[in-house]
Amino acid sequence: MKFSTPKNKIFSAVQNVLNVVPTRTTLPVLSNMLVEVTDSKLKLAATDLDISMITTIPISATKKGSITIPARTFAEILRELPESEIEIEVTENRMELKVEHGNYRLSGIPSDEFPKLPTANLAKQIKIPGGELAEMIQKTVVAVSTDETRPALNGVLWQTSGKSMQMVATDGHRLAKISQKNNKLKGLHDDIIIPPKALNLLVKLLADSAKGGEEKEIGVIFGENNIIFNLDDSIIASRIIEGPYPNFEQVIPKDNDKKLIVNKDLLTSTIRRVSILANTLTHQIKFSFKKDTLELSSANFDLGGEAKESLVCDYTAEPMDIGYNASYVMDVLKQIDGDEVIFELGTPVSAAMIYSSEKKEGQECLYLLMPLRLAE
Amino acid sequence: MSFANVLNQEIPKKILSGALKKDMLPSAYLFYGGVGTGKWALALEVAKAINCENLQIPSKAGNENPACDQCLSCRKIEKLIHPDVKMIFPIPFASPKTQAERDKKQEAIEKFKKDKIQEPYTIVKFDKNVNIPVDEIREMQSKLYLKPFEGKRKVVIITEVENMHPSSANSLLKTLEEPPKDSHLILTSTDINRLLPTVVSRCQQIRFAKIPSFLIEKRLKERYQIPEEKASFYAKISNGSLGKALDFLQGEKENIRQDAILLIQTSIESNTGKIIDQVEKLQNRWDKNSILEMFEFLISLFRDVYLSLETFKTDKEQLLNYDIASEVVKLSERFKRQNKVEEALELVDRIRTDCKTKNVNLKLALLTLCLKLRDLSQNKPAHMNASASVML
Repeated sequence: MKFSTPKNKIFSAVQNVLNVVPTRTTLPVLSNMLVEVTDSKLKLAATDLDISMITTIPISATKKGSITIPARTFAEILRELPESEIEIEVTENRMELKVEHGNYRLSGIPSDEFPKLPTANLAKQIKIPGGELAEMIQKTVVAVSTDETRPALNGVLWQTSGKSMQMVATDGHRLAKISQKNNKLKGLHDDIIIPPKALNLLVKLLADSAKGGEEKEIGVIFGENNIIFNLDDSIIASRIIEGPYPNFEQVIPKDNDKKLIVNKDLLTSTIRRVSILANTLTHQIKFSFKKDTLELSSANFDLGGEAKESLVCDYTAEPMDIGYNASYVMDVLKQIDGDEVIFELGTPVSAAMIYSSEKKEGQECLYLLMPLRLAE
Repeated sequence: MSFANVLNQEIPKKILSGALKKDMLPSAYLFYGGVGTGKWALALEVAKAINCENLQIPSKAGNENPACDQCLSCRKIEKLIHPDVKMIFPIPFASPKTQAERDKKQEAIEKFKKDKIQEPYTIVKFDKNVNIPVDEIREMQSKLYLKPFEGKRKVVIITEVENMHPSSANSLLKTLEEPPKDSHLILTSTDINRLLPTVVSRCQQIRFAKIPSFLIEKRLKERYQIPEEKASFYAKISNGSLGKALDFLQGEKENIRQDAILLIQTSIESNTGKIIDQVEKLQNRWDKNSILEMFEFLISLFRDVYLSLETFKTDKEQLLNYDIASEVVKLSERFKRQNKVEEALELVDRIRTDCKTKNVNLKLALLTLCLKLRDLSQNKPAHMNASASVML
């Protein structure tokens, strides 16, 4: 293997791939980065067995080949090198970097010991606007469960049904659901559960690339064992979680007849204050719904503290008291667009539906929140 | 390596190749049997067969070689670097608290893998107490619910499950009962009686028998160029365990055996002062693992004594310790009555188990053993609660 490239070009690609190199691992080869040269293309790849990342850059190669080399060390050397053309040559599992005033040698592991990376089947690729995807992820990923006894809930369910797609996440206490019309799905019907780690990385990369200005479309491929995101110069692949995802539709209440409309910022700041004196374990806050008034109160017996505040709202049904976990309510409010938020309520022990008063074209976003049982 | 390179074990091979042929592999196997009989080796072969890229479907059940050994998947599994084949084994510093301990844990993992890659029959020993870390089990479980990375199915091999803390065993129960799709667990154990019955009942059990000594002898000669006489001796004394026989090739197993014989001679022939001297010498010379091996030798010696008393024969076919037949005869004269030999055997086994599983002062344990053996050989009653007195 032999090629040469300007330092900044290879360094930014290496840094990109470094995102997924694990810090501690049971397989030594995972702390290495795969470097592969095919016809005038340099492929850099790394994986932690959950997420794999592959970046390709055009180069001028004189000899093909592949090797894996310690990723962090390689990146460190490149970082410190001055800006110039670097010549890289691999012979017998050793990589040599030739620079202006000297050379660096690094031992590697043969590339066939590296895990086999998923390949992107471009025929099955669908295109989704990056911003739209990032929004869907951000709005659902907060509700992903961390409870290891129910593995299917440890990821975001992504369903596609011909002309629309939806993402769902729940941990049993709350549920987030967002659906979006999309007419470029090529009739794809699929259900997959994606671990949040990959989604968070994707959001981060999308945000980085969105800084450049114009919005990009990204390719998505639903594979059998993985999902692949194709971001032009790099590919992120994530293993998916074994299903099936529990039937969430049946927990969405159909007969919540009481409606509360309240200013979102006002509610957020009030909850933040009142929750200071809430029980530190349950974060319980009591919502007392009265005619056009919402009263929030909390009590912390350890501190001997109590808090109570009222705020104006739009509520006409019969009065009732419901307990909620303040931090869950805050998580939901953070994700809601617009100035006003709507709560649809049934009974003090049934789930509340929370959504924004404003609706985006083709999009539907809904949160479900289970109440806490109030002490009599 | 393929099925053919696993010595003997025709019945397990038959069961496994039958299951592979019908593609009806159960989600959990429990391989149990003596140490060094090939449980790990065969588990690895099963993992290879499950993931082999050009699996040769066996035409008839029996001694076939399902995995091809050539494809990338087979080679990766053999090097223990396949992402979908996970190994969990008992190691020291299972739950490290400091960086130094973390490094030692990593070292232990690497040593285990290195030794097992070189020779799957190796008995890997550590000089610290070993344990199967709960964290490993949890991590394995979370990974098991992901789809395979590159292989066809996920395989988890957990060795020496008897070393698992009950809490890890309990957390394993759910996975054993409702395993995720496309995943197989293979548990191996040398002591099925120490496992939770709930674990045992959830697995399909396969028993591994002792390997006939002529096969061990053959393997030692062919693969390790051991001269005929030595190979035959090692094979015999290891009593059906290739792992133990390989142990003779390196280290000081022979010296340990000599000292074990010396210990028993001292116990029955000397006064208390000399016994104490001898025990102290041994305790300074050997670590815990070696002393445990010493107990094994004593057990094999008493086995020979028992047999010779029953059959009046002391030939090579009959004895494990045929090289010291005269010693066996001497001992059988001392322990003329069979029930005393039986008591002695029980005593050694009991103290060995205590040393292995509990936190026991080795020196006191050895001393108690010697004094009780002396009492037995002089026809005095030895109290079986002996080991209770050495517990700390």
